Amino acid sequence: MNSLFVNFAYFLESSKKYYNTKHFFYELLEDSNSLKRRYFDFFMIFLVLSTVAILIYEVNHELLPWLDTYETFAVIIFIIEWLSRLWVSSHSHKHIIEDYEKSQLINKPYYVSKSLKNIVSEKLSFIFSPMSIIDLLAILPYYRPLRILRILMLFRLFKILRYTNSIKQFRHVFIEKKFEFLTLAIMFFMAVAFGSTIIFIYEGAGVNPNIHNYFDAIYWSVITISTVGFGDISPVTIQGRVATLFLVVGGMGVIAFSTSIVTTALSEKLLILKEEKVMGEANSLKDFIIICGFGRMGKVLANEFTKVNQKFLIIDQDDDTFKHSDNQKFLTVKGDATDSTLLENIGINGGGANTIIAITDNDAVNLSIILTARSLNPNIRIIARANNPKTKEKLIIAGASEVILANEITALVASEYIGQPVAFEAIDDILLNSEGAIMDEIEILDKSNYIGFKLEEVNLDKFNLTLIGIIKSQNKNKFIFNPKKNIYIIEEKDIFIIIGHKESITQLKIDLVSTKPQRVKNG
Amino acid sequence: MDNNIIIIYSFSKLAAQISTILYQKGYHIIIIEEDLTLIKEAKSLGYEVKKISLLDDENIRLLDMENKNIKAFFCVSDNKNINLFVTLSVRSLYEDLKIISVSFATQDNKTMLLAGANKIINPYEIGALRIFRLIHKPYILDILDNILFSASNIEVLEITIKKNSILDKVYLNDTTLLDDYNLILLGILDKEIHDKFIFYSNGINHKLDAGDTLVLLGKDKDLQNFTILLENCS
Repeated sequence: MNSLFVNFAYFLESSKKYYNTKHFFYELLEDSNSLKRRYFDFFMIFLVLSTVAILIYEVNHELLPWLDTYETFAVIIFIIEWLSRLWVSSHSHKHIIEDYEKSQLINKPYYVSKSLKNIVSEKLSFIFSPMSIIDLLAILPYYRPLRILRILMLFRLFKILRYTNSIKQFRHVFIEKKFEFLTLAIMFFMAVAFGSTIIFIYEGAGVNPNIHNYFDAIYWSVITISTVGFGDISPVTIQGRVATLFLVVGGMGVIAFSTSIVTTALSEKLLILKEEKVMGEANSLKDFIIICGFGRMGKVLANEFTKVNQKFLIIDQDDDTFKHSDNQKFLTVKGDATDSTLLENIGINGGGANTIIAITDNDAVNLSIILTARSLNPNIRIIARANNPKTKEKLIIAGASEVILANEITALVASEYIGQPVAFEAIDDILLNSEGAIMDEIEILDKSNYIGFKLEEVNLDKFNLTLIGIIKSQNKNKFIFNPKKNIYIIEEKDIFIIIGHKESITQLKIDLVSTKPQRVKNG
Repeated sequence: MDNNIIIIYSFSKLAAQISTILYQKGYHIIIIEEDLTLIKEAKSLGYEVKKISLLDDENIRLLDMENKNIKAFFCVSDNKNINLFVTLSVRSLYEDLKIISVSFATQDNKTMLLAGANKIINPYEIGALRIFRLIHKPYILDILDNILFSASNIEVLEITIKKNSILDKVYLNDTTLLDDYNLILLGILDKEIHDKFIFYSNGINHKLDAGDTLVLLGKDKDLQNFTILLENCS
């Protein structure tokens, strides 16, 4: 019997299929960063709300057969979901392997019962966890003979807690502010007890025709303290009215106190909630760039990336900068970019980030970002800004792939303006991607119909484009300046360097793939 | 070199870089600065330094920029408001002076132009676009660097057409001269259209006139030969 369990445990441990299936269910049910889970959560929320809607409809309508079938379908899904959660809650076979290997190590006989005890205890702790109980209570109302169970259908609404992060945080608010809420509850209880006792003593013995018993007194007290005041019971004696005054004033205090607790806690949670959302989004991104520092340079860069739909994430720890970036709907994390945990969490190591750009106005901070990023990922591309030319070498030693000296480049550009202002204006327009002409690169794709044809077959004049030259990417990126159009033969992976208007360049890119040259192929 | 004096207002980090490059190109640099440490630093690098405040018009007049044949005036202090004030003051006194001012935010460019600057340089914009090209257009960055900073034999040149030159009153589509010299026409600054620069890629068959400036791209030798041709045939 023992060996049967052990062999089966080892079989599961070595089975890739078993691992993949369990991992799939884990991602679907528990992995907060998984896209699958997001879709599953939406589906479950829909299922819960629709079954509750059916319950409401059922109150004064006869249940349609297809709605009954739908309810059955939903309950089957709930049962499968609960069983799957039970399954992924722990790795039972690992207990057996662990215990077996331990006993082998100390040369003692292995008893499977010991492992089973641990497994059952783990599974029971899941079964009796609050969310699991809610899941079970949500399934029970399906048993129609017991009509009373139908009220438990409302427990399905609690299931939504599982599927929405914001509601989960709301639940955490109550857990974290337990002490404050307990104090509030005690105050509330004492006020109710005090008020109801007074009113019952003075108006209970037939003085007030609406107060028949102590419950009526409690009811009046709660309605008054909550400042609802239905008016169905109102005090008729002086003592009762004085008690009412105290209760109303106290009630306002209780409401103000509870509101302030909830709002303070929620505003604290809001930042965490946002950060978690950004982290989740960052983890689902592929090929994105991390911009550390959202200063003047960071803003220009972010706008340029937005224009070409390049995904990026900004890290900045300044409150105002963070707000500014957040207002512009850029994916932003408020934090220290030199913090390795933060960089790790947003996917610098093995995640979707392919480049990190350190452009704060402090060279020491940039250096620290480079070192942290390089230590986490030796292959990531790091571009850094050096504010002081003397720091450039240090940034390269630290591991920067490229270093930008903004002042040096600006000075070079400015010095060109002194010599040839008109030429400079032309280049400057291109450099600044202004509204006029732009310089762009067009790669000749393998499916292009123009491969093997002369350059003159590409109708550049039709699009008013100027060809500066061609880069031979298959030949060590050799640059051919202004090639002769009637001689040059187009090859695959050639890169055309073109100046012209954006629309014309886009159209040429399409034409190079979708149209055919007019003449016969050369060679 | 005639007309080779450059005045740089303030010896900021950017000013230090500009001074170095222009000094290497043979320009005579005059630094205007009030901070003693920066004055000392500028002097140690061999620049002529004047310790005056340009917030006073009298001091600007004392520079006598008209008579001294100043090539350009750089206004590159780290303070945006002071830059605006000095640019406006210098422009009001010297109408034809070439003023290049720094701006630290794109939205400030317009204000600086209104103050009278001929050209705005924004280190953050230039730096950010350089990073952007490093990632998205590395080939273009390489080519622009080669053209701009003369790292290869391809250069950019501007030529103003003289009266009776072989290009005077010639339609662009009617001449093969540029092809003959393997030159690319980037664009034209047309005197008739209020000094407006037109990219050749706009597709206009432009009629060239004396006073128009052509911006050409070509190999240094071809550009030299073309310049000689224009000079000889006018």
